Amino acid sequence: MHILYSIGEVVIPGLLIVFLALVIMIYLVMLASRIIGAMVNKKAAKQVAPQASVGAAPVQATAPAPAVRNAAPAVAAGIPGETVAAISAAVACYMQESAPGVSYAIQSISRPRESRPVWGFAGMLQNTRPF
Amino acid sequence: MTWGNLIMILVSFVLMYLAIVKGFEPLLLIPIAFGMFLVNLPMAGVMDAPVVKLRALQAGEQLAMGETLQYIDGVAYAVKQEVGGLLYYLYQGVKLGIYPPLIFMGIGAMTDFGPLIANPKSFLMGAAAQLGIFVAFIGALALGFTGPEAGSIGIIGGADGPTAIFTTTKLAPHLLGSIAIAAYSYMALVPIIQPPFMKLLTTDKERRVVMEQLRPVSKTEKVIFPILITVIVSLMVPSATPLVGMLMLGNLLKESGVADRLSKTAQNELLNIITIFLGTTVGATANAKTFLTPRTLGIVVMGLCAFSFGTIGGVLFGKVMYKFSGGKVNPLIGSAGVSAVPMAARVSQKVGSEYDPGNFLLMHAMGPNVAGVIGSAVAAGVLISTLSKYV
Repeated sequence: MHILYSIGEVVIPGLLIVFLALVIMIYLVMLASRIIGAMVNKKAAKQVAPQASVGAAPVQATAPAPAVRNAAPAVAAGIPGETVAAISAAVACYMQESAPGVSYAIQSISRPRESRPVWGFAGMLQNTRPF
Repeated sequence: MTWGNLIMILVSFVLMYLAIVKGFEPLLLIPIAFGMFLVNLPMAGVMDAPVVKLRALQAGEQLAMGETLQYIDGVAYAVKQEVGGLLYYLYQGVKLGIYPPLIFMGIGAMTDFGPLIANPKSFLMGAAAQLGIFVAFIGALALGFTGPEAGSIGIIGGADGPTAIFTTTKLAPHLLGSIAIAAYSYMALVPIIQPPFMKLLTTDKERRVVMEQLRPVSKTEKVIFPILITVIVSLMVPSATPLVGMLMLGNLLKESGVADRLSKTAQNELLNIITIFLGTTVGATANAKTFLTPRTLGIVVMGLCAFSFGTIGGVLFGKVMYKFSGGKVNPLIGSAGVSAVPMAARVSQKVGSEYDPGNFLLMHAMGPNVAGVIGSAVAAGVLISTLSKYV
C-alpha cells in the first residue's frame, strides 16, 4: 500500500469520520440535555403553579403579571433588608423594562454558592492525593 | 526446545517480574506472561489445533483404539481425532472477536459518562487524541508493513487493549501477540510517556488554569446517553458497533439502576473471567517464530510513536480550546483523550497539581478520557472497514 495513497484513502477520511461522529455526538448530547432540562422545568413549574394560585388574591388573578411583580422575593436567611433593597435597585437599574408592561420579577435572593465547600475541598484533596 | 522458545520464556519472566514486583498492569500482564510461558514450553501443546488423522483400511484390518470407521468415495478409512490444546479452544473467543466486546461491556458498567455529558465539548479532545493512530499507521507503512498490519499497529495509539485486540484479529491476526503486549505495556507506561509532552507543549499559565465545576447530570440524561451514542456509531461506523454497543449496554445496565445484579456481574465476575481468558490466550500467541523477528521491534517503536502523537494531538487541541474558551479550559486535560481509562486522567490530575496543588482536574479529564474510548472504537471501525479488503 503506497503511503500517499493511504493518506488519501485511510488517514484523512479516518480523522474526518472520527471528528464528524464525535461532533454529531456533541450536538445530540447537548440537544438531549436541553430537551430533558426543559421537560424538568415544565414539570417543576406545573408543581409550583397550584401552590401559587392558592395564595393569590381575587383581584390579582385578573392581572397576574403585576401580582408577580408585587410579590416579595424569597430571601435567604441572614441577608439584611438593606442588601435586598440594594440588589433590587441594582437589578432595576440594569434590567430596565424593554417595553411598558413587559418586565421582570425578582423571585429569590440567595447567597452564591462557594465554588467548593470546605468539607468538599477536604474530601477531594483526600481522594485525589494518591494520583 | 529451540533457542527461540528459551528466549520467549525469559521474556515471559521479565513480564511477570514487571507485573508482580513493579506492579505494571498486573491484572493483564500476569495472564499474558503466563500464556507466553505455557506456549513456549516444549511438548505442552497448549495451543495446538485439533488434528484429524485418516488411515486407509486394508481388507480385514481392525480399527485401533480411539479410531472410528468412515467411508469416503467408497473407501474405508480409520479416522482418529486428536483434541487440540486448552488454550486453542479458549483462543476462539479472541479469534472470533467475542472477548474484546465483552470486556468493553464490563468497562461500560464501570464508567461514569457524567463528566462527558456535563461538558460534551470534551468529545473533541477525545477525537484529537486519535491522531497518534493515524501517524503510527503512516509510520508502519514506511517501515514496510502492509496496510492491514499498519492499521493494527496504529490502533495501539488508541491506548485501549480490547480495541487493539479486536482490530488486530480482524486485520492482522498473526501480529496479535506483539501488538497486544506493546499496547498493554505502553498503557502501563502512560505516567512516564505523557508528562514530558504535556509540559513541553503548554505554558505555565495554561497549566494553572482552574476549570469551573461541572454541572450535575440528571439520571435521565445518563440513561439516554448510551442509547444515543449506540445509534450514532452504528449508523456512521457499523464495524465499531460490537465494541461501542457492548460498552453502552454495560453503561445502561449501570445507569438504569434497575439491573444492579447484571451491572455488578458485568463489571466484576464476567470482566475478570474474560480478562483471564483474553490475557492468557493473547500471551499464548507470542511464540518464538512470530515474536522474535525485527518486525516486533518495528511494532514496539511505532507503538511508542502512536502514544506520543496521541498525547500531542490531545494537548494541542486542548490549547485550541483554551484559546477559544477565553482561557477556561486547561489544555492538560487534552492528553487524557488517548483513553487508557483512568490512568490518562490521573496523569492530567497529577501534572496539574504539580503546578497548583489546589487544582483538581481529575473529573474534567474524565470527560476526554471516556470520549477517547468512544473515539478509539470509532477509529478502529474506520480502519477495519477501509483496510479489511486488503486482508
